[in-house]
Amino acid sequence: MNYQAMLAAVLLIPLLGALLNGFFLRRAPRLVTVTVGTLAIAVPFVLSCLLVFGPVSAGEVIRTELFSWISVPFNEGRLEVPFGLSVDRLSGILLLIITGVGSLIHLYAGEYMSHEEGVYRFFAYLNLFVFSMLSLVLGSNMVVTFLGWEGVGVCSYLLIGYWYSDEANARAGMKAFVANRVGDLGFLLAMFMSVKLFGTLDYSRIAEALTNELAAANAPLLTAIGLCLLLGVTGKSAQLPLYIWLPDAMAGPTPVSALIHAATMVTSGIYLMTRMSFLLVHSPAAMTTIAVIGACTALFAATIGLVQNDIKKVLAYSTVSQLGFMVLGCGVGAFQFGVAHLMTHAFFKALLFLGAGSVIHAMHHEQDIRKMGGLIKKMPITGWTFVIGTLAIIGFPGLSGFFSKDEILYYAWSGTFGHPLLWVLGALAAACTSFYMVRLTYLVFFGESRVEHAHHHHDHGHGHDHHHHEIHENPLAMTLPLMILAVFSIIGGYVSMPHAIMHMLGIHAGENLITQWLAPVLEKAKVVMTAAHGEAHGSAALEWGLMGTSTLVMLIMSGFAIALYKAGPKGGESIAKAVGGLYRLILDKWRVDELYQAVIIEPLKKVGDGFFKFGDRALIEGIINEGPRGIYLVTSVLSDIQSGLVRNYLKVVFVGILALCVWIFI
Amino acid sequence: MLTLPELGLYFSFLMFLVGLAGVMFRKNILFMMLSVEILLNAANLAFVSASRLTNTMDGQVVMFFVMAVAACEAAVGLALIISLYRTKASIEVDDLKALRG
Amino acid sequence: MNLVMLSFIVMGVAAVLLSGVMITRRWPVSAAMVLISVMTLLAGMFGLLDAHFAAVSQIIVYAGAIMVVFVFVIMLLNLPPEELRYGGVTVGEMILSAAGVAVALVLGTKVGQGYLSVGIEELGILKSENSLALHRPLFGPDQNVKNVAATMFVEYLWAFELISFLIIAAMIGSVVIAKKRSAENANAA
Repeated sequence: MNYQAMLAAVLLIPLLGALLNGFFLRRAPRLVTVTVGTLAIAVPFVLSCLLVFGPVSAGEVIRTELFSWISVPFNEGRLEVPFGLSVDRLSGILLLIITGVGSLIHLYAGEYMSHEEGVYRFFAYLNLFVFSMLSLVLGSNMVVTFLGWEGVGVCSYLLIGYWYSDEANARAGMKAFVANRVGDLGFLLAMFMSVKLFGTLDYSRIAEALTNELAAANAPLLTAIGLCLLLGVTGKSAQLPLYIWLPDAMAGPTPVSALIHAATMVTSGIYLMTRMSFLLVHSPAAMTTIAVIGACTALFAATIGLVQNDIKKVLAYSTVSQLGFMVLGCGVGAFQFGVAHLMTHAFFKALLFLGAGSVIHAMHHEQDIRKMGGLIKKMPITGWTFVIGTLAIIGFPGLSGFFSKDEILYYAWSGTFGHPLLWVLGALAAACTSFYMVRLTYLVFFGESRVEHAHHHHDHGHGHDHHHHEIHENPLAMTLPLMILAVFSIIGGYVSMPHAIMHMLGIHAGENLITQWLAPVLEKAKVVMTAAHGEAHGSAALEWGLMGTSTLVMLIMSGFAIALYKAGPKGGESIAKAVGGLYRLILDKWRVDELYQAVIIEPLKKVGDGFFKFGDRALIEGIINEGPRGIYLVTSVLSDIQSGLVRNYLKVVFVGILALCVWIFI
Repeated sequence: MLTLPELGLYFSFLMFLVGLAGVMFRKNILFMMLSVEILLNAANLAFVSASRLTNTMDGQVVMFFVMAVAACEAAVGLALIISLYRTKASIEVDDLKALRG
Repeated sequence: MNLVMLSFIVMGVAAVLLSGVMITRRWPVSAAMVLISVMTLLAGMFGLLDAHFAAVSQIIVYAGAIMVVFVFVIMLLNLPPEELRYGGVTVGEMILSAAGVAVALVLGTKVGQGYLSVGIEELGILKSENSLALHRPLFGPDQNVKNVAATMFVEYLWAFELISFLIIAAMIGSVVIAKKRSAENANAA
C-alpha cells in the first residue's frame, strides 16, 4: 500500500463509518454501532502512525489528489482547486491527535451513551465530525480546509443539539452555529483576498508566491488577510469576542465536549494560523492583534471560570482560556509552542472532560460541584487521573502543561512580537487557572461528601432506598481512555522543554523536540521574523525567572484555593461578599451575553422589525396578496377550461377538426 | 352525379357528426359509449366505401380490425362502467371531475 | 338513378336519422334497440357496396354479440329513472352542431364535384402493379370472402395476429376490473 492511498484511506474511512452508521446500521445492535464507530477512527489512527512516524518524520510531504474539484478560467490562467490532501509535520501532529484522542473518546462514548436510544445517530455524527476535521487538517488548499471548517461546524451543531428534544440544547447548537458563521465569513474573505493576491489557494503555492517584494507591495492587503483569518479563528477557536458559544456548547454529551470542544475542533484556529504563519508574520499589526486577543481571552475566560459551579462550565471556560494561551503563542511568533500547547491541551483537557463525564455518568447527570465532594474514595481511577489532568493544566513542574504553557509565557515576554504586558496578562490567567482548577478538583473529589439523595432519578420503590446512593467507578471502557490520556498528560510536554532546563539536564540538542519537528513548516515564517525583527531576545536568566514566578504563583493560588474550600463550597463566600459587585458581574460572565443582546441583537431586531413592517407587510405581502388575486383571475379562467369533463375536451377537439376540414377542403 | 361509394362516404361523415354530438352532449356514460359505437360504425362505413372507391380490399380488412377494436372497447368500457357505478353510485360523467384543474 | 342507388340513399338517410334518434333517447334500452337497427341498415349498405363479408360480420358481431353485451350491462345496472335525466342541448352545443352541419354541406358539394375520385386517381393507388385489383375480379359474386381472406392473411397477417393479442388483453382486463371489486367486497365481508 503506498502512502498516497493510505492518506486517502485515513480521510475516507471515517466517512465510510459515518455512512454505515447513519444509513445502513440503524437497526444494528449497540455493540455493532460502537465497534464500527470506534474502528472507523482506530484504523485511520494506525495508518496515521505509519504515515507520520514513517515518511513524514523523515521530512517528506505526502500529497495526493482525490479529484479535480474546481477549475475555472482566472486572470488569463486557470484557478485550479483539486480535492488535494497533503500531510506534513504540522498536519501529522494534528492527525495523530484527532485519530488517537478520537479513538479513545469513541471507546469511552460507547459506554457513556449506553443508556441512550438510537446511538447510531451519535456515532454517525462523531465519525462525520472526524472526517470533517481530517479534511480540515489534511487539505492541501484553503478550499478543502474550508470544507472541513464548515463540516466541523455542522457536526458541532448537530452534536451540541444531540438531545434536541430539549429546547435549550437546540438553542445552544444554534448559538454555536451562528457565532461560527461570523467567523466563517472572515475565513471566506481571507480566501477571496488570497485568490486575488496569489491566484491560487494551495498552501505551498501561496508560500512560494509570497515573496518579500510582493509582501512589501501589498502590506495592507496582507494585514487584511491576517485579520480576516483572525476573525475566522475567533469564531472557531472561541476567542474574544465570539467565544460566547463554547460554554453553551456544553449542552451536548460530554464525549462531544471532550472531542470537539476541547481536543480538536476548537484548536483548528491554531492549526490555521500556524499553517498560514508565513503570511501572518509579514503583518506585525495582525500578529499584535492576535497576541492581544489571545492574552485577553485567556485572562477574561479564566476570571469567569473562578466562580462557576457547573463542572462542565468550569472546564468550558478553562478551554476558552487555554485556547487564548495558544492564540497568544501564535501571536507572539512562537507558533511551535502554540501547537505544542494544542497537543498537551488535547491530552489533559480531553482527560478532564472525560473525567467530568465519568463523574456525571456515575452521578446520573448531576453537574453541580456543590453537590459532589469526596468522590475520590468511590471513583479512584477517575479521581486520580483527574488530579493528574489538573496538575497538568495548572502547570505543575514536570507535567505537560508546565512545559508548553511556560514556553508560551516566556515567548509572550521575549518573543518576536512579545511584550512584558502580554506576559502579565498570561501570568494572571495562569494564576486564575490554578485557582479554579484546584477549586474544582477539591470540591468534586476531596472533602466531605455533599451528595444529595432526595432528587434521585432511580426510584426503585421497594425498600432499596440506599442502593442508588452508591456511586461507583465506571467500567473499563471509560477508565481505560482516562488512564491512557493521563500518561500522555504527564509525558506530552517534554517535546517543548525550555532551553534552560535542557541546559541544566545537559541536553545539547540545540532546539527542543517540537521546534525541530516543526522547523520545515515554520522555516519561512522564521526567516521573515528574523529578517524584520532580529533574533528573539531572551536569556536563560529571564527564562528561569519567569518559570519560577509562574510556578510560585501557581503554588500560592492552589494552596489558597485548598485553604478556602477546605470547609466546603461556601468557603469563597467571604471574598465574594467583600467584592460583591465584581463577584456578581463575574458570576454573570461579565454580562457579555447581555451586552451582545443590547448592542447587536436588539438593534438587529429593530432593523428586522422595520424591514418586517415596511418591507414585508407593505411591499412583499402587498405583492403576495394582490399578485395572486390577479393570478387567480387568470387561472380561474384557465382552470374553468380544464373542467375535468371529457365532453368539454371533446368539444374543443371537435372545433379543431372542423377548422382542419375548413382549412384543407375550402 | 355521385357514385355509390362517394355517397357512402358522405353518409359516414353525417353519421360521424351525429355520433360525435352524442358523445359531446350526453352526460350519461352509457349513452356516450353507445355514441362511440355510432362513431365506429361511421368509420366502418367510410372504410368499406373507400374500399369500393379504390377497388382494393384493404378497407374491408381494416373494417374488420375496427370491429375487433370495438369489441375490446365495449368489453373493457362496460366493465369500467359497472365498476364505476359500484364505486360512485352514478354514471354521470359530470360527477367525475378528478381531472379538474 | 337505379334501384341499388335509391335503396342505398334510403338506407343511408334512415341510418343517419336513426342515429340522431338514438342519441336523444331517454332510456338506454330503447337507444340500444335503435342502434341495432342502425347497424342492420349499415349491413345492408355494406352489401350494396359488394362487401358481403363485412355485411355479414356487421350483423353477427356487431348487432349480435357486441350489442347483446350492451343490453346485458344496461339490464344489470338497472338505472333508476332519476339517473337518466337528459337536460337537452345548450346554446353552445347548438352553435357547434350548426358549424358541423355547415362543414358537412360544404364537404358534400366537394364530394359531389368528384373531388374524392380525382384525389384518389392522383394518389395513384389504382396504378400499383402489385395490387390484387389488376389480377382478378374483386367484386363479383363469390369473390368477396376469398379476397378479404387473401388480403388479411397475406398483407395484414401481422396486424391480424396483433389484434388477437389486443382481444386477449381486453378479456383479461375486463375480468381484472370486475374481479378486483368483488375481492374487496369479500375482504370487507
